[in-house]
Amino acid sequence: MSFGNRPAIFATIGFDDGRADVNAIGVHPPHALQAGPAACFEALAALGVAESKSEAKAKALLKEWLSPEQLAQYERNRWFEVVGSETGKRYRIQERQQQNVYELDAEGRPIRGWCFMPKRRLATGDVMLAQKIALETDEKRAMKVALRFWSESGLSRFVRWVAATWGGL
Amino acid sequence: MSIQIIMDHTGESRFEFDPGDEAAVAKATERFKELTGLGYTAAEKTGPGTSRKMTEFDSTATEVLFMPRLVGG
Repeated sequence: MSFGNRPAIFATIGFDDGRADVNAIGVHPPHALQAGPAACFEALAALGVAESKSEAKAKALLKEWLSPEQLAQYERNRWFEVVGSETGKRYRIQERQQQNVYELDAEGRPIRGWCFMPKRRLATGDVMLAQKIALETDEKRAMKVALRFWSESGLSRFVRWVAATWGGL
Repeated sequence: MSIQIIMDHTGESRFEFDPGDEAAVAKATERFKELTGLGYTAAEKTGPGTSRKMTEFDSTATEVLFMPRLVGG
C-alpha cells in the first residue's frame, strides 16, 4: 500500500484489519496527520496537566508520611534527612527523580551519592517517599540495589582533615 | 475505615475498606497478596513520619502504602 510521498510515521504493533485508519501492518495512513498541530498541542497540554496532577498528588502523599522535622526540612530546602534502619547512617533525599540520595557524615556533609528508585515511572514525591521508607525500614535491601554515583574524593577529604586539624593555627 | 494506597502513574490510588466487613477485608487481603506478589513493598504508617514494612496482611493496619520494587539507577 502506498501513502504517496508522505512518510507513514505512525506505526503500531500487530494487525488491525477492522480499523479504517490503520492498514494491515498497523501503519496509520497520512490522513491521521490531518488532525493537525492544534490537536497535537491539545494532546501535549492534556499530558502536561495529567503529569502536574500526579506530581501534586504525590507531593501531598509525601507530606502526609513525613515526620514534622522532615516536613520542615522539606518545606525549607526541598530535601529532608532520614536515618538508616540498620546502620543508623544519615541520608539526605533531594527533590529529584534520580541521583538524589546522599549519605552524610557526622557533620551532615554529603560523602557519597546513591541512586535507587521504584521500578515504575512515578511522580517525584512518590520516588522520594519510596526512598525514605526503604531506608527507614529496610536499609540493607535498599543499599543492595543502590548504585553509587558520586563520592567525595580522597583529596577533598584530606584538605578538610588538614583544615580541621591545623586550620586554627 | 482502613485504607490501602498504591503508588502509580497518577500519583496514587486509594482503596478504603471497613475492617469489620468480611467481604471488604477479603478483597483487601487479595489486593495485598497480589501487589506484594508483583514485587510491591507494603508499609504500614505507625505514627507521624514512622512506618513498618509488612510481609503479611494485617487487618488492624489502618493505613498501608504499596510501592513498586526498587532498582538501582
